[in-house]
Amino acid sequence: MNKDRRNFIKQTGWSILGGGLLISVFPLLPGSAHASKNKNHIFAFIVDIEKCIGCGKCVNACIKENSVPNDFYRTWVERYHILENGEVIVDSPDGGSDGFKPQEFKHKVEKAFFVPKLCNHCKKPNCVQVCPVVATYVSKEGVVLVDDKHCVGCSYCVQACPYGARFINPETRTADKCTWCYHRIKKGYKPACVLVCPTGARQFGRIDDPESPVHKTVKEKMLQILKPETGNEPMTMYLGLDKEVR
Amino acid sequence: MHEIVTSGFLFPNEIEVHWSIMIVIYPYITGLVAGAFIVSSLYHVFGVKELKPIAKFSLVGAFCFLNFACTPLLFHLGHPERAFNIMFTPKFTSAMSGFGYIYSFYLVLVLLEIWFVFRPQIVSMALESTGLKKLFYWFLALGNYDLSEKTLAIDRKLILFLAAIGIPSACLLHGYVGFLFGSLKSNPWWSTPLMPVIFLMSAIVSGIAVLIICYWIVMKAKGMKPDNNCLKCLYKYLWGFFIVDLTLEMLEILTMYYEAHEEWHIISRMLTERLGFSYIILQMSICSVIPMILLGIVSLTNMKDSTRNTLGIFSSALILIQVLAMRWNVVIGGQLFSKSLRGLTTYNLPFFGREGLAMAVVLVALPFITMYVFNLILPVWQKEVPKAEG
Amino acid sequence: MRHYNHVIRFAIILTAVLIGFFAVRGFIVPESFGVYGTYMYGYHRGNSDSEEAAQPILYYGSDKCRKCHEKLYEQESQAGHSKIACESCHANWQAHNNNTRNKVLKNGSIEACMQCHKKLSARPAAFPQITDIKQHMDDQEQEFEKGMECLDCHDPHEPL
Ligand code: HEC
Ligand code: HEC
Ligand code: HEC
Ligand code: HEC
Repeated sequence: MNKDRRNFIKQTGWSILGGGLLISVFPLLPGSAHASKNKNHIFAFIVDIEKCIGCGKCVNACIKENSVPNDFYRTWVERYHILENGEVIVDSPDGGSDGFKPQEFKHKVEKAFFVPKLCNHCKKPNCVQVCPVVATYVSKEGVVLVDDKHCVGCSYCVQACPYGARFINPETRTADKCTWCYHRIKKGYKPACVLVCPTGARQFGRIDDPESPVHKTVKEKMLQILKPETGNEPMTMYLGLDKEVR
Repeated sequence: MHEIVTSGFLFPNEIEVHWSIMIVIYPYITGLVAGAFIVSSLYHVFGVKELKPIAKFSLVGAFCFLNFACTPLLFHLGHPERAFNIMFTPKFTSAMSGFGYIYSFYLVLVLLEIWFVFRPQIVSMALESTGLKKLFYWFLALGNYDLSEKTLAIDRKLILFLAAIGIPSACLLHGYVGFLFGSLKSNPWWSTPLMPVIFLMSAIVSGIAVLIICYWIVMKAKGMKPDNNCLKCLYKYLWGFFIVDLTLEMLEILTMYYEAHEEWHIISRMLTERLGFSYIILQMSICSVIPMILLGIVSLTNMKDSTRNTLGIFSSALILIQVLAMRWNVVIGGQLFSKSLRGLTTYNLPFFGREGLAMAVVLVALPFITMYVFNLILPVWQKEVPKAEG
Repeated sequence: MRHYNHVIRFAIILTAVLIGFFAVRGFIVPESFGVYGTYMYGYHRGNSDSEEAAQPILYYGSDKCRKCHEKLYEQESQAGHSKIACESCHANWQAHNNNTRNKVLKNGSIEACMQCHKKLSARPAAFPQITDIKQHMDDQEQEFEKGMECLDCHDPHEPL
């Protein structure tokens, strides 16, 4: 027994040491648990809330352009009503794809606005961090993409996205989300939602290109992002965001 | 099917609950593994002599649960045929991609330990039987019938070693399942460093409880007398671990309540409006307070064996429900409120179908059926060959 | 050593399983995996981004329409709807291309205008909005007749 004890202690010691070594190797691997250090996030998406009229053309165009399945949205528009008594009422019927109907409230509406939402294409994307099979990744241009031929459909990324931008596509049974219309921007077109926006509430382009519509905004304007506390560093940025928006 | 009832505002993609009952029973079964293994290690490594009658059985239990720990996941995956991608192309930053490796490592470890423990029995079965059966046992013994004293001594050493590294591995396996949830910063109901510890503690608790019940049922079925010392010891351990488990669960919710971050208002609404039964009534009152008191009485006072066993087994059953409720509340609860913190959805559990209740019941029953089959192949309750014990 | 015989047998089986694992892995993992880097940030199926980029485009933008609808394009670019892409109100070019005389392409109903011009509290105050057509008529001090449409007075391409 005594010998067993000694052996046990020895062996446990070794296994703890081994485990410790194994764990300590992880931070040494290139790159920390986050961040795509070697990626250029050259694109930015600017949403100007003061310009959005909530017509839903963007949602519709996105659904057509990317054949998004029913009841799921790659982009959607939310409507906020902030009432006099402090109540906040938010709605997004069918993702706002058919526009909005007027709404009546018991209290006076203090302010109201629309907030278009889409994938934030974060610099430190949560969803990429957690994907167990590398089916979602940051592309060379800093666009977060999903490889639907490799995805196992575990929906861990859906849980990890703080913005609700991801869903499981019922047709492919894999994760799906906004790609900033990767197939379009690669050929020099604007994303479909940006193209059809009648008021220019959605702007997209390269940050480093002085010709691009976002260049000046990014360099000069006061911008906000959604849920900065998550540390995801979104590249979709907002002008005139209210504190009530999550 | 019922309509999904939502209240308030949810992001349009959040209406559907993506992680279904399969993800509830996955940590449940994994937890039973960890718990059962800890019990066997209590005997093999920490020398808790009272647990000897159940040491072998708990190992077999751990093995049988372990075989099915991944099955619920396969039923949940959108592409189960690609499941091995998790091991083929792992992402080192992903908590989930480690699971394939940790699981396989642990499976091999438990398999090895079981093999060493049962080797004398396998060999004697091989020597006794004839024909195909003999071939089968020959195969199980890997064609080696060496039972000399020296070889058995080696086996004992290896069993000790495996049991010893098995403890951190079991903790890793289950603490890790907690980490899966605890590391998701997007979800305030999950994202707490306490999550892995709570999962681990509740895993141990559920493992001990399921062993108590199984042991008792098997003894009754075989017409044998259960070893009351062993049961008494198990009740004590169950009580001890349950105290820690419940304290942690209380601490978690108290901290959340007291800190009252912006998400608290929706979490409290979720707990009262959606999880009123499974959280407040099951997890936090009936199935926790009653076993806590009963087990306290059972552990601290002297009473008739039959009374003690009735109370103990009743508490174990309640604890099993408590842990299941806890898994449900964590997994389903975390998806019932919107990440916009403005609304609640509902989860409608279908009865049939790939992710239905019926399938879940079948999956939970499978390990027990395996246990039965295992016992047919290698009788667990055989008294002879005591030499084999570590 | 003789006493370790059974352990060695187990070890051999384990090794075989391990080798099998790597063999299957080599067979299954797509070739382009990790061409942008190994095991960290470039690590993904290399062809997947080009596959994504190969998706067909449906919306081509107003410049596409200009070629054949020069007059309307010029007309629109002068007026209040100048910033609106043709494909916002009409179907996308892909649909048009496949079906030249599709009636779905144009929608001059009141609802179509109202999707953008309906008075909503959430719309920016500066944006021209009307409560409904009757109110709009009253504002113009005109008689409202049943069956009146926006297009009676406004050209969608040159609204004012
Ligand atoms: C290759 C030339 C061509 C291009 C490019 C083109 N069209 Fe047309 N379009 C036509 C022709 C031809 C007709 C049929 C005219 C007719 O019969 O009077 C037509 C008709 C239409 C009509 C009227 C259909 C109807 O039912 O009366 C609309 C609306 C229209 N096009 C919109 C567009 C838009 C928007 C675009 C840009 C995306 C576009 N077209 C680009 C050739 C073109
Ligand atoms: C504000 C929405 C809107 C926009 C923007 C718009 N159209 Fe139209 N278009 C209409 C409507 C509504 C009609 C149907 C008019 C009718 O029924 O008389 C129409 C009709 C047409 C027709 C059919 C011919 C006709 O005069 O009736 C053509 C061709 C056409 N549009 C092309 C274009 C092109 C090219 C552009 C982009 C430069 C464009 N439209 C932008 C709303 C729009
Ligand atoms: C896709 C959204 C959209 C649709 C559909 C639309 N409009 Fe407009 N409309 C606009 C925008 C944007 C403006 C420019 C507002 C501004 O200048 O601030 C505008 C401006 C106008 C103006 C004022 C023009 C001016 O010079 O001030 C009129 C009149 C008008 N629209 C009528 C119509 C009619 C009639 C229809 C239906 C055929 C229609 N609109 C459909 C978006 C739309
Ligand atoms: C009887 C003719 C007539 C009809 C029908 C009509 N409008 Fe107008 N609308 C006008 C005139 C005239 C003006 C210009 C008023 C002004 O300049 O003050 C106008 C102005 C507008 C404006 C700009 C308002 C502003 O504050 O700048 C919009 C938007 C508009 N109309 C939309 C519509 C829509 C949408 C419809 C269909 C529901 C419609 N109109 C139907 C005659 C009409």
